[in-house]
Amino acid sequence: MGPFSITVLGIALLVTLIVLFSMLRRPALRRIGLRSVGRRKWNTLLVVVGSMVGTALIAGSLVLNDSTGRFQYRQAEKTLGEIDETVQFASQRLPNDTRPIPLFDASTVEGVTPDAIRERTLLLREEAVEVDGVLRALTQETPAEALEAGSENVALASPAVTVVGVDWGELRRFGQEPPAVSLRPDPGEDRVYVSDRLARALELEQGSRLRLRGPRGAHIFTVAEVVPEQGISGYVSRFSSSEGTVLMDIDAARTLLGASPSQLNTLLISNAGDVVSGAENSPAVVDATQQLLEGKGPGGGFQVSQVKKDTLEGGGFQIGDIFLMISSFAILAGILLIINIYTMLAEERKGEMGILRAVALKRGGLVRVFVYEGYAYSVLASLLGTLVGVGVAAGLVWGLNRAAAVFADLFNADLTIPFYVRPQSLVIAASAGLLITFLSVFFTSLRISRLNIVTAIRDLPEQRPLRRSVLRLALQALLLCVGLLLAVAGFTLENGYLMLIGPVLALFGLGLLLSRVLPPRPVWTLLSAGVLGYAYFANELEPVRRANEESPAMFFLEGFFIVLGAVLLVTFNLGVVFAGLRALMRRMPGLASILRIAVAYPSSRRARTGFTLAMFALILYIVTISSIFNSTQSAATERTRNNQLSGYDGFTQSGPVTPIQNFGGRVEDNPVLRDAIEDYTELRAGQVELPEYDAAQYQTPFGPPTGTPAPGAKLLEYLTFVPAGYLASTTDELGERLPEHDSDREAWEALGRDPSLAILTFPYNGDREFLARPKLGPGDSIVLRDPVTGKKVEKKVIARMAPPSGFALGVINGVIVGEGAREEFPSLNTQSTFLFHLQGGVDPVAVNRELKREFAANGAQSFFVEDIIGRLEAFTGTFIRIVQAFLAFGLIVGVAGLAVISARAVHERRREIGTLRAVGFPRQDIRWQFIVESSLVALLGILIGIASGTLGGYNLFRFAVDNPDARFVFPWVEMTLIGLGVWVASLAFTVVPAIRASQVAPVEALRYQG
Amino acid sequence: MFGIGRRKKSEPDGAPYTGPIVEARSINKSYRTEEVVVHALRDVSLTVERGEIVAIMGPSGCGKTTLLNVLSGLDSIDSGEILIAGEPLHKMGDGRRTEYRAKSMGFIFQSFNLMPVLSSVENVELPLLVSGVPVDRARKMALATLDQVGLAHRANHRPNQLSGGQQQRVAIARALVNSPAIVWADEPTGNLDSDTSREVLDLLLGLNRENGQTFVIVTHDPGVGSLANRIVNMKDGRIVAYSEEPQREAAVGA
Repeated sequence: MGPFSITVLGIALLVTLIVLFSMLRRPALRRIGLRSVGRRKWNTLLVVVGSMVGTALIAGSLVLNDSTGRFQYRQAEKTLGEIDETVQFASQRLPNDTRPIPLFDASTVEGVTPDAIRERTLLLREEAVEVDGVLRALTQETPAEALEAGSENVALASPAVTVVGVDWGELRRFGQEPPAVSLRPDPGEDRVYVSDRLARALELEQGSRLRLRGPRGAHIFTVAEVVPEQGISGYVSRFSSSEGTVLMDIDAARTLLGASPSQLNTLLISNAGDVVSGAENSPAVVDATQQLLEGKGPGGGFQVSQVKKDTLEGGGFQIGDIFLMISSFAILAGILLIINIYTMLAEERKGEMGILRAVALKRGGLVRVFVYEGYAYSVLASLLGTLVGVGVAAGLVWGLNRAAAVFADLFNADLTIPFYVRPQSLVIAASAGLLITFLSVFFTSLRISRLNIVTAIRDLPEQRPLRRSVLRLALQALLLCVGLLLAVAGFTLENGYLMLIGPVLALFGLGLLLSRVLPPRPVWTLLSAGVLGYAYFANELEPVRRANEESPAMFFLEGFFIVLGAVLLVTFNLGVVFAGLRALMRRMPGLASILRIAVAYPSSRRARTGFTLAMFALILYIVTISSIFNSTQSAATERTRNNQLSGYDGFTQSGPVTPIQNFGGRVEDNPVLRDAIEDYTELRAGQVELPEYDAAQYQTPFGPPTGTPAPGAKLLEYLTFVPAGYLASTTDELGERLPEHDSDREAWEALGRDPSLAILTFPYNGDREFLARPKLGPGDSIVLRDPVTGKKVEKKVIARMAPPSGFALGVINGVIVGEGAREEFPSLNTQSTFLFHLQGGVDPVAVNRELKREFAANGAQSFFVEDIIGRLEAFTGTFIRIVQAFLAFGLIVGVAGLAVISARAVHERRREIGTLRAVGFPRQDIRWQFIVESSLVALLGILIGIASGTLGGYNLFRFAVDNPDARFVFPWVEMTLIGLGVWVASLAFTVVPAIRASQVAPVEALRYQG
Repeated sequence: MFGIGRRKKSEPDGAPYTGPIVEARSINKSYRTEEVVVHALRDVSLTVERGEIVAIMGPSGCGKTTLLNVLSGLDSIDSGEILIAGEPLHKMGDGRRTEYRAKSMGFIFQSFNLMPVLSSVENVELPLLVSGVPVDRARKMALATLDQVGLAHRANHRPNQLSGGQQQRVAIARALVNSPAIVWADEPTGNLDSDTSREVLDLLLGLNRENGQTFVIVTHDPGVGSLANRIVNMKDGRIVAYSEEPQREAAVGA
């Protein structure tokens, strides 16, 4: 439990103790307060259901985090087990790098022992951290082939499996509870243990033969046993596409990977404790181990990685946090609802409260009565909300699993998130819910206890005191000063939060002061427009933008201020907004009386109208943003669909050591593929060095953490050889090209004619956002060095590709040259990619199945543009639906809020309704007047929410969507349907209060005479 | 304009109705709580002539407001008959009674009962709008009536921006704007100081004198009673006395 959770729980417990103690001391007040809970059952139900929404959303988000956390825990348990840290020789790695992990001599790390680490942590932290195992290992991803029984024929192949070699004796001493596989016999030179996942992928069983291809050739092993993935027997590095683990004796691994008897490439460290508690000490162990290894190794350093901790924390990304952030809008709307509900309760019981005050109950006593009752509701609401939240989380997990299922076969892994609930999440959600409800009740109670005894008893409208308190003036001035101070501090310290909050608070302070001496409408119109504009444009300020990127809290704050500004702007200009209705009244005299009253109340009761508008707007704001995100994303995908994969429909790629020979011939021999594939082209790519650039200067922010390159290491890059067929048909756009090439096509085709020319991929534009590369463009030259022969070749850059639009599926990497340049790099180890066009009307899924079958022995993988985009769209679509369903739950707040306000209005306006009935308003006019009034407010709230959500969405689009071709798309149909749905639901809930209003007897007008 | 003197039912030949504007015969009204029955009106009969100002007086709880409620159709009766301009009000359904009130009656309440969210002129035009009078015409008529009560200059003020006397004048304008056959007033000066009460009463008298407007006023105030043509005294739900002589002569020409 983190400090925030402990604080929430602590405050909730403190509040509970104070309330219970107070209840014990004042039994009479307790009886009065709690009596209403049991007596007014419908009221209790309304209050509890209305108040539980916030708790349910919090509980739902936290339990979702529990479930994803459980998923990560299982991953850690399977792939790491006792392993908490890894030590490898630092090297520069490219994304999807399959090169060997550098070897080092065991003697360089012999100082790294459990005792040495323990002592070092004592020096560093003044507290010893126990380490219960250091395991020397050789690990590497290699291609693997399952052989048919009794022959050398390949049955199935995989481009990458993780080979792990360890000393069996050391393994049996590794960790508090050594890995289960260590209890099995030492596999020896020719036998291996394979993980159950790999066994499934390659259809292996005990006794099967497996050919592994190391850098120095292939070796055949016999499967000693299929073992469950459990720590070392399931070890794979993070973000790996490995299909499973092969565990063997370290000497066998040395033979396979070409290492000498004293060489290793990995140290595995186990901290004392179990899977989770061990990882908590990782930072200390990492620091200590780094120090022990300082200056060791040939010319470079070692990288110590806290692999377990990173896996458990999911890289710091918690999907539940996203849901918590989007639900914060609904929680805020829920607080407004609670305030409304309690004000309504107070209104209903005004007479009762007046009498209590008249018979010598002090104001504090009245507050206590309400607080006791409110506390009972808070407890019920938090318990119910927590329960409902668990259901919400179950729905979210189900939805996410459905969304992720579209990728399951691509990743060859079980991506199912288990539904998992940690009791502390429920306690935190219940505590947070209780506090939110209770505090809303408490402050509302303070306000409503300020009643005039006489007007309360006689049920007369409350009169505003003529004298405004000095305290209020002081508070308004203080708000202005605090706002100004925060603003100054924010701009001075370049703190994004203060830069946003400070000016807004100052504007509010200024508005409150000015409206004491000036008419409120122009003051608040200007002020709210100012808040709206500032919140919208705040992202132009770099610190605000940075804060926005760092934390979702900023997104919430901006959204809140945008909605607040929009609601205030509309609330103070309802006359302008309703102008159209006045014209309607002229045209339809029959409706005039209904419209006159229906418009008059919202226009006159600005605070209440503003509250209701805010409830709707806050929720519709985030609903709109999620819809816009979806539509904009879909449009970007659609726009770029035709430019994916250089205009080809799909590609097939095999592993580097199991190349596909004679792709064209095998396609021709396969009737399904022959009919499906129209034409194909073969691209070859290998890795070269760029000797002019130090690798240390160009560390990639993309992909898995790859460590610091050794000093002096040069930048590595892919060199892609493209044939004439590709050059003649590619749809890849060039961002810049030399003027002598009139078109992109001409520039591409020039590569085919002249092998000294090159085109660079877009990361060479120097913005370092995707891959860090030197800034090079048309006219520059680039030197390439063959890593095997050391031969240097200079290329003239004639163009640089344009950045891709949105999602980009591509196979073109690094420096692109024509096929003719292959002669300059004769020994370069290359990997082939076969790009192809499909015949019209062919089902890519069927072709994919056939390709997989045909090239199974090569471990080939095939991808299709339609398939990938379809999966992406399906995933995004499902995910957005989940978010919207989650938010729809929050819409209960808006709908219930309107019902509560309508019910409240009936109570408050009895006499006015009676008067209207007396002067001739028929029942149906009263009914319609209520319905029209509610529908206008709901519609306005929905429209404000959609409009401000569109602003917020556009703002997000401007700053978060880094895609020059992306187009902002407003989902008209979807938002119209959502808006109408919410509107109709709201109206359905105001029908009952409207009918009750129409049943008020006209004699009510005369009943409450003063 | 929406006066009830032209009603056809009582005058089948189409001639204007010339009989009493209000005829109540043996009306009874009681309220029931869980255990108690309160007889608010017992065998009450009353006639009000056109152009009269009738004051209903009596101690608290004597049933005078109940009498006004049932005579005006705001409440129903248990037995008896109520004829307004010859029309049997007690037989009308709620909808018809409501329509009748909109077109033929005006109300003045002790607490003014103006709509707080509407301006003076908007309050005054309400009975017209509900009767289907076009918006522009309703506005003209409302302004003219406000002028009649001396408040044209306060047409756009909300009730909370007006004094008690001004609010009651707006309420009077609202009661008169549709030229009702009868105006019911329940303690119209009950919330006003003596000077303002005097002003309001002068206004009612003026309207009675000049337009022949009929008023039935429930009051505690002997001063108000002294201005009426007749006083009806009530006690325990019964009329216990009529003033024998008119306090002042009824207006003519209504």
